[in-house]
Amino acid sequence: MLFYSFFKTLIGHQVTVELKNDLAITGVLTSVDQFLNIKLDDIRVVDDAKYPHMMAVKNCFIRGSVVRYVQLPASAVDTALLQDAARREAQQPTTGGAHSISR
Amino acid sequence: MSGSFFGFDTTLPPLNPDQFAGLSGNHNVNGQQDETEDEELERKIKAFTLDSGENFEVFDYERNFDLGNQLEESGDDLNDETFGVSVDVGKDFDFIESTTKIADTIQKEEEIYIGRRESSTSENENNNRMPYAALWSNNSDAIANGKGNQANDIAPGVPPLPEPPISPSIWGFHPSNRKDALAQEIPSISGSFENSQRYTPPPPPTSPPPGFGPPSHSTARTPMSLEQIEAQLHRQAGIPEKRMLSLAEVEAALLGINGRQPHPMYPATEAIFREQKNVSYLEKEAALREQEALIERERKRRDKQRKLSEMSRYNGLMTQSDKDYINRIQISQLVTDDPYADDFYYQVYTAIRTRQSQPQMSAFSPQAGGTGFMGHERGRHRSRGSESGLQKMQQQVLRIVNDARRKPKMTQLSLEGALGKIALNSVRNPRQLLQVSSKNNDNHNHSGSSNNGSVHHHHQKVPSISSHGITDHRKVLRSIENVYTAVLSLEELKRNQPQRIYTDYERESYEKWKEEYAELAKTMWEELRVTEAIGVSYPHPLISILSISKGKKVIPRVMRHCNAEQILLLITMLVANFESLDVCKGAIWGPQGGVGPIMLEEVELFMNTVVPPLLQFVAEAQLRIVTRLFGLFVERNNIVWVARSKVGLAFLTMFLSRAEILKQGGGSIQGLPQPEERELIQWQELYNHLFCTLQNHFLSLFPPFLVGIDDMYVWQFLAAMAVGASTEQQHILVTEVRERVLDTVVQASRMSADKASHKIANVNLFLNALGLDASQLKI
Repeated sequence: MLFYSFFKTLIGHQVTVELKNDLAITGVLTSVDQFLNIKLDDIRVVDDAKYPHMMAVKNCFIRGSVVRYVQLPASAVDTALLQDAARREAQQPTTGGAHSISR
Repeated sequence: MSGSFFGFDTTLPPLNPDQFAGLSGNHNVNGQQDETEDEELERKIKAFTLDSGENFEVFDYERNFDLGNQLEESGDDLNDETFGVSVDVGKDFDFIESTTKIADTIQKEEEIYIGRRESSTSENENNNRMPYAALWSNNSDAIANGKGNQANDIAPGVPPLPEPPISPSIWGFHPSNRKDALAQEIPSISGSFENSQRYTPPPPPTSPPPGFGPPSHSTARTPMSLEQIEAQLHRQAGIPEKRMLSLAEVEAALLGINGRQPHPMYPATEAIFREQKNVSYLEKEAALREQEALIERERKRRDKQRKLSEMSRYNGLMTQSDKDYINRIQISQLVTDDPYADDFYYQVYTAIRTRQSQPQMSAFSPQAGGTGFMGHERGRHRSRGSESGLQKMQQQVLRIVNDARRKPKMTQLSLEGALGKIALNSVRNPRQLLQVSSKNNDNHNHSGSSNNGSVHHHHQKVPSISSHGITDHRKVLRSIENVYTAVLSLEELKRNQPQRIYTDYERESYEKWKEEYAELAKTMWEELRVTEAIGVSYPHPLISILSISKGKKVIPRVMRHCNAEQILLLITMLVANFESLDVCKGAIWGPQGGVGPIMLEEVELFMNTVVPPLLQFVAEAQLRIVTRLFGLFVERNNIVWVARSKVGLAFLTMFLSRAEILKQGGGSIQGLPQPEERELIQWQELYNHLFCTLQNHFLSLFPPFLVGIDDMYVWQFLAAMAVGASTEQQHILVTEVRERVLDTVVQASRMSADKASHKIANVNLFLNALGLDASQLKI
């Protein structure tokens, strides 16, 4: 849930989402859900000469599973807090996976 | 019928639709009303004839029947625009209904008139009369019908006449012409034409041009045949006869009055008509455009409607309980009994960010730790209206949470008889893509030494026999993490601190909270291992923690939960083991060794995280404590060496300046007693000792000139030294650093204004402490 929680704080910020098909879309993050599906607004494709068909697209919904990277605005990330959140997540007994690894 | 009208119009310019529209208004009235209205019509007709005259150009053609071939066809260029090819022309042009009703009447009039004229007047006059009738009838169909009528009507009263020369032209010409026009131009309304065609006599088979009935043929037509047609027409149309008669009478009377007037007016009327025609075209076009826009709008609306209706096919597929079920599935993924546990980052982040704008943050209220679901912050700001719905949902959510809690967490489910296992993955329990076996890892790490691992805690299992550095480093990291864990719990407890303690229950819960808090604080303190005796392990556990950047970062947070005694203990330990601190031993400026950028970062981090809380503590300490710490610092460390590090010098400055403040009575502001004489003497001894130690080394405290490090901290230290120094000591100080002072001033003179002023200010820190200033220096 950490990533969901994290991405929620980025709503309203400009991010660049790199997809697994090498398409990179820059836009304002409008919404994200627990599957990390992403909604972007005012989008612009990074290499728009290569993807002319994306020129007319103004906003989009990206399925979380096709995302390779998300480039974040550094100013909107509180790394110390993120570390704390990661620690809390690791402590939680419910997060079976991470827990069993750490112990 | 309108078709016939259009056909007529297209070929005959003067009879423009506008006129017809106006006329049709009259006809409408008459056609729909009963006989009482007829008189009015009469009046209007009269007025019109007076205005425009009867002689219309149209009838010039008709007069010379042969000219039918030469009929001007070019006038219909704009017909498409005017009437639209396929568009619905609208009610304005719908004369069919009204005209059909009235047409026959007019035809009758015509016939009567013709009959009369035949007997008494010349052909010319007849011609004049004809256009008039045509005008009124508005369409050739009517005229065509009228032809039949003529015979019909006239037959009883007037003796049957030989076909007048004009009428055949009219009858023969118009219907056929109309048909052509129709076929070419207005196919869309052909439906109405088909209707009207029934009324029209078929063009004579022998007529050479299809559009025009030659006069020779018209003569061949017998009144009888027309009569029959007319009769048939009447039967079909079922138009009452009485109206016609009345109109016929009116017409006759009219003729009597106006019959011959039109001739002189003829040219003028033509001009007027042309003008009117132009105007009417423009008007029609505007109207058409408007209509097109309307149609477009209507089309869009219909499209939308269609889409909606298409979607509405799925309306009601799910019942409300179905929807609730789905909602519950979705929400149960997001639901949590502690938003801080699952949504920590978001909650704290938004709290921090919004705290800047609004001081009181709801997330930090004691209720925030209660039941909620993710994004409840947003939910809270919703309007009152959705509040009850939200509550309902939260109740539901609470139930789900409780259910989930009751059930043990399963990651897999094996059904009886099933070959495989069903994985129960969820957002919080995702499918593990990496399978790291911790067992193998451990075995690999302390191969051959598993015998002594049993005593240790799991994460401290790594024995000290295998490589010391790594295991110690791991231990340190683990203890730092433990400190963090404790700190996080403490911070959470602090957030949930009960604020009102009035009732017994509240007091009880507060006591419980205090207990819990104290317990956790103790755990944290133990994890920090400050109290561990010096010399048992090297370096001291606290120093090890402080040697790692995240260990440095946790210090200010730890301090918040420490009491003064603990802080003193911590600072004592730090001072006593200062030499082994990474930011001290790794960041010594010397003639041979530099300091790497990574270490410089560490130094900065230490200065920004560890030093401020310590400085705060020292700034409130009594001279006795300062002297003790200072003594310990000087005694336990190689001061000449330590002082060459930025951190070491900062500590020295810290003690020196605090002591100086206390010496000068600054402690009274803080409510501290004036330092005793004994303490002051003690301090002076220590100071002298420090000065002696550092004598001849003051210049070496500076970082190399060329590195470009801001040497302000050195000047600060020198200033702190100078303030407490005796005159003799000051002299020594100045002599030692004189070179550096001059160098710096010279360097500053070559620099840009702001850099230079910074350099000069640094130097002045020291010079001002001696009562001097850089501007007094002569270079």
